Amino acid sequence: MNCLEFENEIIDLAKGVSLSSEIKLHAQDCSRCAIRLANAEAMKATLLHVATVDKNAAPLPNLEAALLTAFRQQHEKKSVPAIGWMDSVYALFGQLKWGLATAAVLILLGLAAAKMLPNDSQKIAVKTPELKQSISAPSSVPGPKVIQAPEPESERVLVRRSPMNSIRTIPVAYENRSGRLPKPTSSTSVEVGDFEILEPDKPLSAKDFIAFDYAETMPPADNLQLMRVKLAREKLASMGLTMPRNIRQSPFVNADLLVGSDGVPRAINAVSLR
Amino acid sequence: MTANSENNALHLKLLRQVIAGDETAFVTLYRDFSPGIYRFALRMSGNESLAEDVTQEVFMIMMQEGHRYDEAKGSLKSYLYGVTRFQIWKKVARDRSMISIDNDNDFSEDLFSVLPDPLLDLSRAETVHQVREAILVLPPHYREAVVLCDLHELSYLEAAEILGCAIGTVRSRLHRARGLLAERLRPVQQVARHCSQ
Repeated sequence: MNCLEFENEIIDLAKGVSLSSEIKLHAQDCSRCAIRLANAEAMKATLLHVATVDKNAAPLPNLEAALLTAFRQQHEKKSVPAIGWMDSVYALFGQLKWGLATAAVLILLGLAAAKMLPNDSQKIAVKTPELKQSISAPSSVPGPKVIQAPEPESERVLVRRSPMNSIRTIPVAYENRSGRLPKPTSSTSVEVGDFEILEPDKPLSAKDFIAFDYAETMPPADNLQLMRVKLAREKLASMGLTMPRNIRQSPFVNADLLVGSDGVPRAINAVSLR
Repeated sequence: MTANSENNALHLKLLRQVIAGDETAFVTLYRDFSPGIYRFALRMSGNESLAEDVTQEVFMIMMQEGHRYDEAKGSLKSYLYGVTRFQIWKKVARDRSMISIDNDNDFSEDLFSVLPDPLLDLSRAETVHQVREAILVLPPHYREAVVLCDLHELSYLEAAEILGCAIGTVRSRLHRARGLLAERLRPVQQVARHCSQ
């Protein structure tokens, strides 16, 4: 046995491994290893003594009682069955809490986003029998503005109203002139017929327009002219608009038209009906 | 079947009873393991209050999470000592006021300076105290090896399971730890030798 092997063997000395005869022989021959062996034995005795003394060390007796109480409480909690509708509600809430929290956050975000929208345009909800759509509308012309058709009173309107897309108008130079609008290419369109453009006494309002059915299927018009015209009363009636009794005798009515750059009217507002 | 495996089978049975709510089984396990766990925590930290806390924590964990114990990974004793070890380091990390334990080269002459003439004055109790102090200033991985293998007389295998390392690593740590202890305790050892005669 050499010194290295000796060193490796004495590691286990403290673990109760008995010394082999080889170790003893090597310790007799090597003074350095003899000292190492003596030290290892002394260390073993010292640690053994400390371990013996330490065996008396124990936690305080009240720790056992405290743990036993905790054990009983925990087991009682486990053994109580969850019954009653309140427990069911709590359990359901426990399962859904993250979903509910997510939904609440989304609602709050939606409200915050709605508040942050620009408020330079007035938002009006247009109701139709089929759908509901939000369209922005300006209050008056002239000046490029976004307009739309709000819902007229139901007894005045017999035509099916279509929601209009956002329409931008351009100022109109009002002159006394008359003419005929070109006939729309769409077969479902309404021919307005002869009309006379009038000079309005005040800026036209882009409110209370009724969209023609065919306008819904046409491509969106970017530039529309808002003009006041004088139409034959029969023409107006053929559009499905009823007329108050006080103007039924008049052969003509005044109306505002939204006319696209293609000359096709998209919506009408019968002024005389007001 | 060896005594160790018989013991472990018995402990496993008791643990299952504990999970099922058997108080007697809990008390039996507590009385079997709490002294060792407490001493392990005490010798590792040098703090009785911390050792009490750790012991309590370990048994609370056994109560609440005992079902997580996997017998394939080692004995229940190793599992509980492993939990103890984790709890000790958690608390030690929280309490920085404890003795610095991270410096391998911490073995200087300052310990001897507080023992001007130990050969003459040390009693047996003081010897024990000096050994405990010397163990406390060992680097943590050496300290664990000494406390488990020498003071708790666990086998290399058990210590390796608790420390999560190979048996060879335990042996080498133990060897190095004893060397450091011997260096520091040489005068004390002489007293011990004298006392044992």
